[in-house]
Amino acid sequence: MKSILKRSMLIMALVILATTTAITPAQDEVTLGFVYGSFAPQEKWEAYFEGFLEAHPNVTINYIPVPLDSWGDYTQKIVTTMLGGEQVDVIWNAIEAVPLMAERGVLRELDSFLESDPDIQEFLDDANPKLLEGLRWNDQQYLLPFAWNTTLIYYNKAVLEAAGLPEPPPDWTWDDFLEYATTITQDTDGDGNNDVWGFHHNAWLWHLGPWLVSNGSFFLNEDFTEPWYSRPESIEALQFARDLIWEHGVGPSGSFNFREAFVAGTLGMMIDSPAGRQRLIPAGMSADDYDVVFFPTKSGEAAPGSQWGTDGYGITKDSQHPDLAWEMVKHLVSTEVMSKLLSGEFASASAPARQSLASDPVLVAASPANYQRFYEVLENGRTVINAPYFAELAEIHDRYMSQVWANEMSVEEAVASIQADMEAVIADN
Amino acid sequence: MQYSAVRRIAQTGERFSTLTSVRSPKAQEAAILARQATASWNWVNSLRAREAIAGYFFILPTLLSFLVFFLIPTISGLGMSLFDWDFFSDPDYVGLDNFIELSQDKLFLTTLKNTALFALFATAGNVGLGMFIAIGINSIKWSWLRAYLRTAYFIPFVISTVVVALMFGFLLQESTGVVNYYLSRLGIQRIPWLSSSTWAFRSIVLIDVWKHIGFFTLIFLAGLQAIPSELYEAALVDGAGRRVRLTRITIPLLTPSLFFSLIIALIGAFQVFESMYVLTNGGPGDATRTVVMYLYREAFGSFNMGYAASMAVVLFFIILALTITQVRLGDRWVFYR
Repeated sequence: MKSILKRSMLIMALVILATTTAITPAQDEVTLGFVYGSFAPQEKWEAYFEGFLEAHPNVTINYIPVPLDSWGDYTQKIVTTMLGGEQVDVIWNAIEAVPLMAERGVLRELDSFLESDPDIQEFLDDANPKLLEGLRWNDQQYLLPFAWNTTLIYYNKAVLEAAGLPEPPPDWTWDDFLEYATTITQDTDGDGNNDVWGFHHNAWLWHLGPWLVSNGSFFLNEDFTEPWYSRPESIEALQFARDLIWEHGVGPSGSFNFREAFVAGTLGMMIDSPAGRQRLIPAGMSADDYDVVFFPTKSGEAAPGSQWGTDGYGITKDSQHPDLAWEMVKHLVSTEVMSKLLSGEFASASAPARQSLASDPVLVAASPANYQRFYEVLENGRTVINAPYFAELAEIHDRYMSQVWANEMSVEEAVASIQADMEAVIADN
Repeated sequence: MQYSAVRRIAQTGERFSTLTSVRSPKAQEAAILARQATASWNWVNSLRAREAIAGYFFILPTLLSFLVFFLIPTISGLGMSLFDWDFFSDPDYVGLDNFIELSQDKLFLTTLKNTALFALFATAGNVGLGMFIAIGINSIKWSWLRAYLRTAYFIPFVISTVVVALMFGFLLQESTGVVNYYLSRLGIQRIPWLSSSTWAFRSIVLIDVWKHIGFFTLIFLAGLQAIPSELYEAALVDGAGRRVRLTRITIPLLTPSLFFSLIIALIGAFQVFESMYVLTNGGPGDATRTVVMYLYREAFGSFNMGYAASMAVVLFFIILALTITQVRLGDRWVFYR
C-alpha cells in the first residue's frame, strides 16, 4: 500500500514538474540598446555591465557609441540616431540635455519606477540631492545621477616652485591671481615668445562660468529666462578674464593644448574638473604633482563659486523593454558600478553621485590633496545652463566670445550682442 | 510570362489574318492588332531590343541608387522646405514662409557670402594650381619621379577630411604649433592661423587646397596624356618655343579637363562642411561659418527641418545656376578635338 502511495506521489510530482516546466516559458532573448559617449572605448563601458549580464543571461547589450564634442551635439546625434530607426533603451547623458530630451518626448519619466520599486530607496538616500534635483524637469525625474563635475583651478606644483611661489591660498583675490600668473609667465630662451605660461582658459561656457559665479553673477538667472551678461558683475568678470590674455599677456591666445602643456611644465595653472585626473594620470602625473584651488574673487571676501553639471542614466520613451531597462539603470547607479569612477581607470573619472563614495580611500589615493574643494564648490555653485534652448544659447555665447578671445571685439560690444540675441531666443521659446 | 503571352497573341493573330478572307471591320481590327503584336514580338526578339534590355539591367543598380539616394531625397527636401517641422510633431504647411524668413536672415546671408568666397578661392587654388602642377610633373623626363610626385600629390586626397583638419589643427596652433615654431625661428611673428577671423578663413582655404589639389592634378595629368605628341613635334618644326607650345597647344587642349574640374571643384566647395566644423566650428564669430554648417545647426541643433530644407533648396538652385552658366559659357572656350 505504502509503495503504491509512494509511486503515486512520485508520478504526481513528476507530472507537476513536467507541467510547470512546460508552462513556464524560456526567457526570451532581449537586446537593449545603450547609448554612450565614444570618448572612452567600448570595453571601458562594458566593464560597467559586469554583474548585470550574469543576473540577466537573456539580455544582450547593443552598444551605440556617439561622439561627444559638446552635450548639445551629443544630444542631437542621439536624437538623429533614434529617428534613423536605431532601437535605444538606455541613454547616458548630461543635465544640459534633460530639458530638450524631456520636452521632445525622447526620455521616459522615472517617477513611476521610483515610486514602485523599493530597492531604489537605498540609492535615493545616498545620492547627492542637488544632483537628483538637477536631473528633474517639470517636476519629473528623467535621469538618475551617476557622476558630476565642476571646475577649479589646477596648479602644477613644480612650476609654482620654480617661480618661487607658495601654493595659492583658497581665499585669493584677482590681484593675487594676476601676480601668480605674471610671475610664472616667462620667456626662458629670450626669443621674444613666452615658453612658460601662467594660466590658460578658453572662451567656453565651461571655462568662463566660474569667473562669473565667483563675482556674484552668471550667464543667466536661476531659471534661465533672463540673460545676465549685461550685469556690471558679469562685464567686470569677463573683462578680467579677457585681459589676462590680451592686457597682461599671461595666457596664450588661440588654440592651445593646455593639458599637455600643464603636464610638460610649460603651463602653471589651468581650469579643469574632477575628470581632469583621468587625463593627467596616463601622462605620468601623480596626484602629488598638482593640486586644485578655488577661483579667485575680486576682493577675496566672496564665497568661492563655480558651476557644476552632472550626467546620469535614463530610459527612452520608445523602449520596448522598460522594466529591463530600469533594471539596467539601477545596476548602473549601484555602488559597485559607481566605484569604478574612483580610480580613473574606466570610462570616466568624474566625481561619484553617491555621497558614501566621496571619501573612499581609492578616490583619495588617486586625487590631489585638496580634492574635497570640488565638493565645497558644488554646494555654492550654479548649475550649468539647462534649458530646452541650450544649444542656441551656447552658439550665441561662442559666436561673440570667440571674437573677444581673438581680440576682434570688445567685451562691452560682445555682451550687448549676446544679451540681445539671447533675449530673442528666450522670447521665441 | 510576358514573352509567352506576346507569342500567343502573335500566333493567334497570324492564323486569324491568314484564314479570314472576308474582312469585316472587326476582322480588320483584329488583323491590325495581330500585326502590332507580331511586330512587338519581333522587336522583343530583335538584337537591338535585347541589347537595350541588357543595357537597362546594367544601369539598374545605378538607377535605383540614384532614385533612392538622390532623386527621392531631393524631392523630399523640396517638399520639406514648404513645411514647419521639428522632427517630433506633425509638419505644418507654411508655403513659402521659410524662404521669406531666409531672405531676411542676416546669418544666412553671411554664411552665403562666406561660402561664395570660399568657393572662389578654393576653386581657383585647386584648379589653377592643380593645372600648373600637372604641367610641371608632365614635363619631368624621369618616369619614376613623375610617378612619385603623382602619388605624393594624390595621397592627401584619400585621407579623411576630419583627420586632415585635426592634423592641421595641431600644426597651426598659435603658441605651440609646429608651423609658428619654425616661423619664429626665421624671425617671423607668430600667426593666429585659426584664431583670427582673417587668418582662419585663409587657413581653411589653404587646407582645402592642400587636400584636394592632388585630385585635380591627376585629372589634368590624364588630360595631358591625351594630347597627341605629333602636335608638339609639328610645333617644334615650326620653331614654336616652350611658351607658345604651352599657350597654343597645351592649355587649349586641356580646356575639357579644366571645364570638368571647374564644375566639380565649385560644386564641392559650395558643400564644404567638415574642415570648418572641426577646426573652427564656424568662428571666430561667424568668419568661417558656411551655409551647410548653418543648415546642419538648424536641422539637427534646433530641429527646424523645414527651415534647414529651404536653405538646402536655395543652395541647390545656386549650384544649378552656376553649373548651367558654366556649361553655357563652356561652349565659347572649351576646345574638343
